[in-house]
Amino acid sequence: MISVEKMVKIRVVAPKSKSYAVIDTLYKLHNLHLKKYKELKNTEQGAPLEQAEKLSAALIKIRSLLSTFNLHPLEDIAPVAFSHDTFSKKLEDIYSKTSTIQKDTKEKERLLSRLQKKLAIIQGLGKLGIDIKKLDQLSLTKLHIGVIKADADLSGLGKKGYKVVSLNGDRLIAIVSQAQDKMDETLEGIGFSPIKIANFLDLSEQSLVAEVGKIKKQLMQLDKSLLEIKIANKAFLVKHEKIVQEEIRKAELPLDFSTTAQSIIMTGFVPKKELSSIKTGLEATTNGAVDVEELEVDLHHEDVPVKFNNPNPVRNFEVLMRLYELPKYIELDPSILLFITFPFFFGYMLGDVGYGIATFLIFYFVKKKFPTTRQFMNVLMIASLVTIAFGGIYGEYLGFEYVSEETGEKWCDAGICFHKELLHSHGHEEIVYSFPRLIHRGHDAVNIGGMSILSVLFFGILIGAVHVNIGLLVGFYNKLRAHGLKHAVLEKISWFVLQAGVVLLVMSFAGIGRVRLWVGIAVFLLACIMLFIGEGAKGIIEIPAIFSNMLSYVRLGAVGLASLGLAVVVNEQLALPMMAKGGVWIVLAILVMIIGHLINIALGVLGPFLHGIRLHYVEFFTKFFEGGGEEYEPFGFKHTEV
Amino acid sequence: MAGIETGIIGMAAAITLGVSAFAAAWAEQKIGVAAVGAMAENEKLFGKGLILTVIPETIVIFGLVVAILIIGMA
Repeated sequence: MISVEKMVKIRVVAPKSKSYAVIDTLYKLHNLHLKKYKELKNTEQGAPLEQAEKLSAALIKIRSLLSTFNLHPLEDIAPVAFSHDTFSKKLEDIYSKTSTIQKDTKEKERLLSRLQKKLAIIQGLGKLGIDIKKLDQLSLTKLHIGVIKADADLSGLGKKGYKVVSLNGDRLIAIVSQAQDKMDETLEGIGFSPIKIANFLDLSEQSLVAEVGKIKKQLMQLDKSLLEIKIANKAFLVKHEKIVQEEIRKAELPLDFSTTAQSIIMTGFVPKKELSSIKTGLEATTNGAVDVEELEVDLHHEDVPVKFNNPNPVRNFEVLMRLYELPKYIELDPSILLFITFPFFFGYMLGDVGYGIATFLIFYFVKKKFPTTRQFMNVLMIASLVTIAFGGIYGEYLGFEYVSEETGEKWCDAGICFHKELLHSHGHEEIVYSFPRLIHRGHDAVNIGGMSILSVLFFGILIGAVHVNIGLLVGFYNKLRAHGLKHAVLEKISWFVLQAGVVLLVMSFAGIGRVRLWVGIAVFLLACIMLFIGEGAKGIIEIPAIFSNMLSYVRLGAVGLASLGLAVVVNEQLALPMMAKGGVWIVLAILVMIIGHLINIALGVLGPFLHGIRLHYVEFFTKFFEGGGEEYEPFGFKHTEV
Repeated sequence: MAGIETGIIGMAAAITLGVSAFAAAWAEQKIGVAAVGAMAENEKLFGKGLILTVIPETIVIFGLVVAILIIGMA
């Protein structure tokens, strides 16, 4: 739990002939994090399996079919057994049938459009009153029949001597030529394209109509058979896009292998507890013709993949680690610390029973609506529960800290009696019944050196001091594991000595406990020397940082006070005075409260979340965390991220 | 009725909070722009960008704390 999953580095050597079987087994076991190919002596980089190219071609075909049929590939499918031969046979069958139909359709459509054009011209001629069968050669030399654009300018033709009818967006025109020499020019001017009368001589309108009808029927038939293919193969197609992609990944895996003439060699990491399963699995598929060897790991120079190893409620907080960086393999996994302190900080800042319930419900709803945000919402829901608890401690309910005398008395008669107190505010005095509480955020103060500081602010700094020191302790543990005791003491224990020195100095100045000044100075200097040896000049420069880090935790109280302030303004300055006016104002007051509290909840989630997480990342993690671990990504079925 | 001293204390608190809020906003704007730019290059930087963007919030929080302390003098 405190450290990440134990990993073992292994080297697998198998015969080349068993490549696919080995890869398929690894895929199913889904536990080997493969290292990229690195050049070894007498080996070369592996080449993709021979089916890779065919699979890529198949993938293109599947995608073209999917787009033809307007289908969407399934992303979330369970891995299935895959036989290349049956698959490619079926795909080829569908593909050839479909493309034949598509080719046919295209041809028929072209024919149809040609026939329809002819039909339109014949009908147009009919409307123009020209019977082409009766025209003789002679009259044809004088008569120009052709097509012009709908917007052609006909003013050059004069008012007589031509007839026009519209024709599928264009116009059909018949012109009786006048002066032969000018005619060509005129025709060119209007964009005239003549029709060949000879082509129309042996066509009749009826036969064309019949022909068009026949082709339309054939097209419908083709459409229907296409639909039949779609229905029959829909399941196959939507499923196999993903399957083929996965098969391509398998076929290309040897790119990460080293190969010799006869064998494949791969290195990678396996969780220690799954080592035996990978051994037995590989031996079973290769009939024992495989060698799985455990290798030594150089923890200081090698990136061991990181797999979190946390029990359930803590697991959700891994999402906050991912947001920042993964811990190194050798480091302590801070998820558990986040689990303890993050909800605590969030609750300390927001601290309101009403807001806690509201945010809990909102996060629950978001989690149900968007399942991918599950971990994140779980974190926030836990934080909301702590918010409710702190709300109880502060005695705050949607920003209300007390009820009026009247209501309080009514409730007291009903059996729920609150503490009765006299409230001074803005020069008025008022008797109210306060909710039970341990700390009053807005008023309770501690007296330090003659200065009164609100308790929440003071406790915030105390929490900070504890938190930063926990960070230093964890840092000590990490350094001890990574670099040994000497480094750990010089780099981390020195900070404790420094704090002790500062405390002694303060005590001697303030005259507490008769501490001599030189004792404080000596301890302080000792810490400085340790830091200088441990961290160099950087350590000396950072000396004030540790105290400013602790002071930074004052935000735990301050962010909460800001949110409380806004809630009080909404309730007492806006809503309640409106309420008192009665009538329409009550509706307005309710509106003000809804909008005001919604804004405050939005800010109240954003602020405590960001500041809570920032305190961890900036103030806490800098004391021990290096990060930069590589995520454990075993080879196997890969869910597509949506 | 509150005297002139109370008024001056109130003004002091207001200036403290206002100026520190302005400073924080100005700093966050600069960092936010850079963070969004970095995120456009690499989406994984979202977490770090977010944290860097809220770092100057410390200014306004200390401003708020000081303002509260000033009001406490009234």
